[in-house]
Amino acid sequence: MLAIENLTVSYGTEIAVKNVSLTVSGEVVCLCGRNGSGKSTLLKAVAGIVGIDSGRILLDGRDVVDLPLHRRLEAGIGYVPEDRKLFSEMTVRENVEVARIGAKAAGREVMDVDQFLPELARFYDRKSKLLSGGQQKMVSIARAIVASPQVLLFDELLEGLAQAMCYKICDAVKGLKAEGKDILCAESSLDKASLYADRVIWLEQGKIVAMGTPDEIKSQMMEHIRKMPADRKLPQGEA
Amino acid sequence: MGANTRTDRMLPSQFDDKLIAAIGLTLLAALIPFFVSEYVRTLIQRCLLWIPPIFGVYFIYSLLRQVHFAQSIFIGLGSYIVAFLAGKYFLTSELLILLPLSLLACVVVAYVLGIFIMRRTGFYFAIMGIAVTMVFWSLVYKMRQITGGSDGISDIKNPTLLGIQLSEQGFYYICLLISVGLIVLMYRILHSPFSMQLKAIRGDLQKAESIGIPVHQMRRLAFVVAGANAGLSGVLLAFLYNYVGPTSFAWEFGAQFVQAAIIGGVNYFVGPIVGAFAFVGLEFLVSTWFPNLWEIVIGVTVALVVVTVGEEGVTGIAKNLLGRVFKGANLKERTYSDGK
Amino acid sequence: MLSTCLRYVLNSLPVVSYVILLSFSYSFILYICGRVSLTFAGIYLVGAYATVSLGMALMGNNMSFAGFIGILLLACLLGAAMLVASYLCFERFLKTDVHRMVATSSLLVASRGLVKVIWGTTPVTYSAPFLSMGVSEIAGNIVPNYYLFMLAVALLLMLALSYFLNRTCWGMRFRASSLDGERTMAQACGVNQNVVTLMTFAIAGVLAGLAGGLYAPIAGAAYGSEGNALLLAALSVIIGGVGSIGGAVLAAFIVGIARAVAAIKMPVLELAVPFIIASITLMLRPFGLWGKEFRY
Repeated sequence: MLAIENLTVSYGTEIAVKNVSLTVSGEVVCLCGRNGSGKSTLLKAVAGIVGIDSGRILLDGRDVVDLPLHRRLEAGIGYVPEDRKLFSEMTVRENVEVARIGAKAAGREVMDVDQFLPELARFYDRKSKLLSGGQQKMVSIARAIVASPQVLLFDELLEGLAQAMCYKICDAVKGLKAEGKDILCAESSLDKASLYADRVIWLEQGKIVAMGTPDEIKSQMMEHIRKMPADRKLPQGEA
Repeated sequence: MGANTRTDRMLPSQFDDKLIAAIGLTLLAALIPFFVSEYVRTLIQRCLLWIPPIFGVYFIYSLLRQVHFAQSIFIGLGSYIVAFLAGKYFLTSELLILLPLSLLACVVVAYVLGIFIMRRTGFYFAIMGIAVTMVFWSLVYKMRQITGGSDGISDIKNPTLLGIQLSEQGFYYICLLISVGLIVLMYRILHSPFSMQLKAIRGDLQKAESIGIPVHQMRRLAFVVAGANAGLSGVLLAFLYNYVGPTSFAWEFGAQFVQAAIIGGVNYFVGPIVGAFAFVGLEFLVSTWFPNLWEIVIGVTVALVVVTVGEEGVTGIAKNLLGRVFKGANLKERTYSDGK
Repeated sequence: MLSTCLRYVLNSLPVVSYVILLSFSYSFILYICGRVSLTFAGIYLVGAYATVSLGMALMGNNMSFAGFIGILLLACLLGAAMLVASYLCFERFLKTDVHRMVATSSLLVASRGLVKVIWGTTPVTYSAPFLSMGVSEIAGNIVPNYYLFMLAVALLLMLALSYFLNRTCWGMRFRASSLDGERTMAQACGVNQNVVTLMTFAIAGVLAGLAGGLYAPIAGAAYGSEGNALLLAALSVIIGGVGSIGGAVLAAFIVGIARAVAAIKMPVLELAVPFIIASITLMLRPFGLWGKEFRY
């Protein structure tokens, strides 16, 4: 179970995530909100890429805040970044292998990736920079899940993917959920989130303003979403 | 003399303050020869002549964020022109011929070299710069019959101006004039649209190229501006020391200008001036007491300056300290309210 | 004709070998850590002086092969220690490439100064290893065995490094962190970036120190020769491409042989030739003959 308690993250004077608390246990939770509402930052904070100001991040009761980035894998956190960030000159196999080596070194059980991403076997020996966007996303997911992490963080999982690829990746996510993983995602589009999320958390200016199933959030927030400016207004002050 | 390059438009009062300071400093430099020994005067003269090449480094650094290690080529070029024309194959020691001639030579060489070494940024540029100084060094070193090899060329005749032999004092004023003139010129260039454009394109060459800015041409011109500064200095440095050797082409000599610029601070227009005096002063002190340690001292100093204050240099530190002493807020308030 | 060509190649072997080691020392740091570091040339100089003075002090003219290997190992250790120290004290604080170039070139000047303080500026020679190995004949050309020894050491090291990078777990980690622009994903895959960086600097230090040590019995150790080393190594990296072992070897052969030919035909252009080759390479293949696209 992933529990985030009173998490605050800031970039200099700009506060990106304000006092957020949430829990994920055996479900798919999706963070939604406008651009710049702090979704990605929250994921990065859990993954250990950005440092936090205050709060706790508990993984099955263990506080992981003080663990450096390279030891979050050992603690059981897998992260899929927004723009995939594969090791571009390496083959797909090698990309996954890097994570597998890390997992073995950290003493974690290694997961069979093909079970969730059967497509992957088709392009194991291609250089990852030659793959299409969706295939790259798959490799990125494979790299994150190979160490069988308890918590999975997916940033903009379905962004820019064709419909068929969306379904395949959603299937993979559902398969992972069936394994009992805690999955926390960030998605800028509610429609895409409703494809795979059990629960949606709506963030505004780094704060949670609404929580519920995708349909509830849709009906609740639609009016509000249509009215509001597309981007977060700069100086803060507005709640 | 003292203006911050980051200020786009000078407020009148600010400009006046700085103009007064600049004129004051120039007058001070003009009066100094009457009060100091010949040795100190030569030292100051060297500082003055170092300012233009350092400005070249500063120009490339502050506008393009590139490290220009190749200034020594142009110093060497200017110096060897003097060594040949006013020394070895004596034709003339007339400054009014030698200075434009060296300027022309440097512009041509800089333009041609720019084609090769200004194509790329980052370490490619820096390395090609170092490489090209080494190439020139080895050429001069090996063409023993013409250049005297490692012995160099001494017995350079005293400079003349309009046919009149210059006294040592007179030569000091020529150096001061050229140095101050080049500083003013650099100030103008740094506040010209050309510089603004260069600054704008430094981020992404390909993007700038795709919207039709002649990126390579402009970068080459920047290289030419830097080289021309150094070439003029080279002429006067040759006369100052009455000796020219292949070391004026050596890469470590070119690196010294980078070091001086960094010590002075690349964020400020006065940085190169401060840097020249600080570098030469430090060298004087260290080589007086611990002549063997000079390279270690300068190397570690520059590395420490970069690590601790980055581009701020001595100027930035001094400004920070002064601001604290005189309560920065107070100063700021005065200048801005005067400007309105 | 063929024999003349072979003679040029054989004569260039020492330069080729030390340029292979030096240029890979430089491009290894550049490739794996994305850091420009010019300090390697200073390490080369220190390695050369250390080998000469240790050799003279410990063995004099009674040459023993094992002893010489031992001295080379010491030079490697010294190089690694110096480069790691320079990383820990200065280079890890440098945030941009411009800073790195300025600071490491200053550190290069400082290491020159160190050599000046310890050994002075007069060149020293120690040719016992070179002389004691004798000569052999290849197709009518007399070639000192030491040349072949140097080349063998350089190539074997490159092969070992290639094996390390492509076939071992740690090598995989090195490559992952090199291919990752911001160096976050490699860490998210459990790669400890600090360890990789320190190991990279140590390996580069070993290569640079060894280059100095191996070349010293032929060329001696001379204050000021670091400029030449810097030039040849850095130009080879431009010619061969950053981070490629094949490129480093290929470029070292090109530079070494071109220089050897120029040194005999037109001594004046000895250093100009590598520069011209590098300029042409930059125009035709901006990332080097064997290089992949690099983020500069």
